[in-house]
Amino acid sequence: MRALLATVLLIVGCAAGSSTVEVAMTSEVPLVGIANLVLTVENSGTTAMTKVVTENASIPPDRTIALVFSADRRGSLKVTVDAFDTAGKKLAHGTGADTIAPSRLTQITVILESTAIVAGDGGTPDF
Amino acid sequence: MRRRLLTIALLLQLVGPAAADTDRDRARALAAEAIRHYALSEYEQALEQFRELYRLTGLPDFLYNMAQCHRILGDLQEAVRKYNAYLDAAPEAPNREEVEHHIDHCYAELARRAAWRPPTSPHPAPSSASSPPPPVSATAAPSPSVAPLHMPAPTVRHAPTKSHWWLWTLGAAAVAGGVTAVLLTIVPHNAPLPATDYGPIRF
Repeated sequence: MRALLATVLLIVGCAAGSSTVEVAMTSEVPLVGIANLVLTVENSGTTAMTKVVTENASIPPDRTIALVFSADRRGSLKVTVDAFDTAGKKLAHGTGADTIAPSRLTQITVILESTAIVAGDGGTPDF
Repeated sequence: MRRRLLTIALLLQLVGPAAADTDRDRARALAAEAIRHYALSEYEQALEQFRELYRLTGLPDFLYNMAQCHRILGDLQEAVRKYNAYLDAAPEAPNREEVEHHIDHCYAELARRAAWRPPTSPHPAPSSASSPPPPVSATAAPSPSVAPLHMPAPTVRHAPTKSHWWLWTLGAAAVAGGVTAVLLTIVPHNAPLPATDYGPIRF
């Protein structure tokens, strides 16, 4: 009976459910004044974008965000993260990729690299 | 069992009008009577009539019915013989598994009976079996020396419920497993949602 049950379970498996991606955002240089994060997600030729308000956050510490995909989503997934300050200036940018599958938890680490430009006089020493 | 008996009764009723010869009429009447005896737990009478029915019709089902009566009456060896005769006569019987289970049970019960020994009395038994029994007083407590030496064997009819607890356990486990399998199949198994700073964001 147990063998039969195991066989049935092997055959039918579990019903496919949603998949979750835990995106960990890290940076090698301190990022301050992050007002919002814009995430661009690409999977199976489809691109989606979402904006997360972070209210003057900073990295470090590392920040995490959960993305949940419906059960019909699978395959390679690319996540692009752009960090902006309150003025709308891009502070950092990073990408990460992995594969998603129904009912599975995937972890992606995005290393944010500073894209901030030097404002003002370009670093001319003050006298 | 009842269903099988009814099946036989219906069979006889169906063929009866078409071939209204004496034997069939008699078999039909006998079958009805045997079923009544069986329903009333009059197994000795039912057994005799099933035996007669088998003589008349040669239907293997009556061998099975006889085996059931023998088993219920405690004649396990004869029950096994009849069960085996039934399986020989009807090798493709739909209840073959059930019959084999009965046979196994009968063998197990016979083995248990063979292994059983009466408890030894703390007092020595009377030296002569033909010695007259001690006088019985209406007020005196029974003496240990006159305690029965042989316990009555438990009736076979109650044995399946007691000795097959594991069967019920297996059945319950199978049902629970089946329900679990169905639930696993039907209910979507979503990935766990980790604790994060932001989100979850659903796509």
